[in-house]
Amino acid sequence: MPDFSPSRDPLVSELEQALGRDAVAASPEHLAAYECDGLALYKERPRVVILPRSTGETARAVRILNRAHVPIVPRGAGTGLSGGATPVKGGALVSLARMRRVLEVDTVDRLAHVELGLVNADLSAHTARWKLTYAPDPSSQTACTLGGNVAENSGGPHCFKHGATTLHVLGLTVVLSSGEVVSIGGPEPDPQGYDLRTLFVGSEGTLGIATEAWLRLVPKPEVVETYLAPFSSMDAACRAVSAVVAAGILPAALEMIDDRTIAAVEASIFAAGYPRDAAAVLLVELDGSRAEVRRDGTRIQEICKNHGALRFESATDEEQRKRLWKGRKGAFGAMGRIAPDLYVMDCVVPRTRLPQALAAISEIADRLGVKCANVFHAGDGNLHPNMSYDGRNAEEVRRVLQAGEEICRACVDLGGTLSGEHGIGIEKNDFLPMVFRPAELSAFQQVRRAFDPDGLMNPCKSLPSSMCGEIAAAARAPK
Amino acid sequence: MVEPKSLQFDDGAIAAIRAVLTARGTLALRADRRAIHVATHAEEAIRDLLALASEHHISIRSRSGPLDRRWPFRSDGEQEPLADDERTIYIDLRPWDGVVEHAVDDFVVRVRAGTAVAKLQERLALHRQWLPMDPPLAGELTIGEAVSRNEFGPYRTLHGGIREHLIGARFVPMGGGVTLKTGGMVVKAATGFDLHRLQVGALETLAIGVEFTFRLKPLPDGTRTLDRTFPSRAEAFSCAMALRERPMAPAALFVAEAPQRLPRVVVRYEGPDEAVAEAAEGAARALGMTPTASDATAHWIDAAREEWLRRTGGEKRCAVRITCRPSQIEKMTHEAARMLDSLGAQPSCFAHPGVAFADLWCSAEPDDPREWLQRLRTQMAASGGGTARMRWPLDLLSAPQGHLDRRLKEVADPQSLLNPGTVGP
Repeated sequence: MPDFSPSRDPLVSELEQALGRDAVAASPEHLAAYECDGLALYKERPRVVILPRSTGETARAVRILNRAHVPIVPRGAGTGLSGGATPVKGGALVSLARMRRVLEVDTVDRLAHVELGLVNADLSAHTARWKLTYAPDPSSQTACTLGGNVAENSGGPHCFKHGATTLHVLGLTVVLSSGEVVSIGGPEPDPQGYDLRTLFVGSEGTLGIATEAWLRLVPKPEVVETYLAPFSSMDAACRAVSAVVAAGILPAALEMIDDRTIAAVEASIFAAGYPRDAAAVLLVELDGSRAEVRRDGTRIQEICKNHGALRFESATDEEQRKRLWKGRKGAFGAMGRIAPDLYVMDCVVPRTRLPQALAAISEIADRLGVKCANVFHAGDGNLHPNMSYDGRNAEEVRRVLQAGEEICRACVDLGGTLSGEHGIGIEKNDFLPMVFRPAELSAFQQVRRAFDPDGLMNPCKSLPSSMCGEIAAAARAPK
Repeated sequence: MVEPKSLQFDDGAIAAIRAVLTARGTLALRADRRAIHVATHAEEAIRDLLALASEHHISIRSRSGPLDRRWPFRSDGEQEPLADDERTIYIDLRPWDGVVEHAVDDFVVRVRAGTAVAKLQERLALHRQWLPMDPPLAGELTIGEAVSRNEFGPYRTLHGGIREHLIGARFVPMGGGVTLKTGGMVVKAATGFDLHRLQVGALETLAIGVEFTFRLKPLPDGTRTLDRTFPSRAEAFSCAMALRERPMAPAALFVAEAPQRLPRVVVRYEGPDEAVAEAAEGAARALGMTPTASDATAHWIDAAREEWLRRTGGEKRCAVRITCRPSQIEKMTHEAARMLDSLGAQPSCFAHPGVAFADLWCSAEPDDPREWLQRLRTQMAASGGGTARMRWPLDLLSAPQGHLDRRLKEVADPQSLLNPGTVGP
């Protein structure tokens, strides 16, 4: 067994020499902080953590790792929920946490050129002075990095109208596993050659390390209105969602919160004033011109009432609007009250299948004795079953994992897929054959080889473990 | 140097192709020792032909619509000269058409590649839905061609390009004898690589798309279209940029320029009646825009088509599509127009300032199109940046990412048999 302690590992010495000591972490206490991302079910300690300050330093580090044939796992803030940034045994973790600069904001063309260690919400905060915003808004947006968003093709509540990350990335600077730096796209809307952006966004760090990006900004709308509609049944709330969309209305967000989540939120610091007696609350946001919002608001109110909404309230001021969203975005944090650990799942079904999917989730959770709450992007059919558990109880962990697999199967059977915005990572790589046949998985592998012929980039993520051998098995073993 | 004999189908290959076609109920429209022309309504035939092409090292040329100018077989039965350095199976996908599934309440449609865009829109309109794109020649342009050529019209201003609406596809790669599928009927997915979006603009050089799934939008309640001509292009572009900044975003916005005509700006708003009326009044008041005589969608699309027909008219022609930052569009169209003008024919231009694209064309052809294109790119780079892609006389997928594009092509089509000669510098 090689000794990778910092004083003996020649790789660490070489990296320190190339990048400086402050850019390399290898002590056990440092490494412990990086052994998992937001998916705490799986843990692995990296051999070394590298914290480059620029694309050039990233490339220098990758060249060293490539020469030593060390697997490379890119990491943003580690808030990912599918294990995309879980270290690989014996591998290096490249964290972009120190690459947080906004390189350029072109206010006329509504573009931002940024380093991808920048936190998602910090970009919109930076561009607010020009009344511009970055649309994708994952729940973790105050912590997650734009690089992580690119890796996972992250979404968020407002992606119902504005689309997920892939539609907001115009260009990327990428460090390939060889250490070569390439540009994919740029500030222009379309590339001249193949649209490699579409491959790279959502590739979960398996094609290279994206270090910089050209991102599309959108103007802040003239008016934003947020509404809350509580329902006495989840079924009725889901039907109201379908009716809103069928009426031709395109809200900025259509979010659903179930009774268990309401209880957790209202008992937490994220309390938003959601009615505790409701079986579900629907959070609707409209944006656009004053006339658009006024008309659509009236129509949505009618639809919700016709579908049994207990009432329909509009946020009266900006403070109340923020509070309503604080409850939604803090829902995952609030669930810490239920049990010490939380497994936030992510799967998608066609929107009209939401009632069946929720019924299936409920049946699976009840049968397996798993505490499950739902908070989800109803407009997109993007479910987030949240399972609370105690990670010290191995038997409970087993039931939670089984429930996760069965929920994925149910969603796929309803015409859905495994993930809407969290990605596959190591959480669901063995479920991929539920969706893809061997020919498709083989095509994915070929794409990876085109970018990463040495197979060093985030190996074993997003491919069934049967296709990537022993490393995957090691990485997947729950610790 | 390849021996001419090896460029002909041998009896074994012809027999194998005939067997495939017979088994799949597909007739060859033409077959000789150099070219076999197939129009198929059977996906299995496409799969089998691509597998067979790999096995026998035969080139495949595919088309699903009218815009591929390299297609040698004309509708009047005449034929352009065939390339003399290859033996080829020509596959016409236009008979492979129709809507496979329309999930009305989910606003999702699954459609075959050979379906004409206009035909699809007619069907969707019955449910007050549409695929929010308005490419030129929509009556003939097929969905497959719209995807493979990344076609769009003025509505891209608000609704985005075709990749924004594409949520899944089925496509046939070289060699495998299989149809691959990525994406699906869900409007949001982070599951596997988006190989379907990779087909957008790839000119069918990686695979042949046979079926596409799109997210739809509701037809707008109200629309208003306004236009105005200007004495100079600078004023026209300045007006267009001002329209872009107004409170209600235009659904469509273009600047049209043609020889002996004044530059014209057209803007269209869509949404609730009250909102579009307000926006139109504002644009009229602030920028002197005038409501057009007709506001029907058909009228709008016809106007776009007219521009397109003019742009592709004439015996000899040169057409390019440029893109840059929106604020650079006036400057870059000026640079491209100057280059076209130097060919000896006055250029026309159809620019989308909201999304920073412009199509320019003229009735003269450069002697060396590649060299001319390179000069245009150099000129644009020197003037502030942007990219250019030639649409005529060459129709090349340019590869600035260089080796990554080449590697991707190599893994998808290692023998370079699929639509050869299409990936260029």
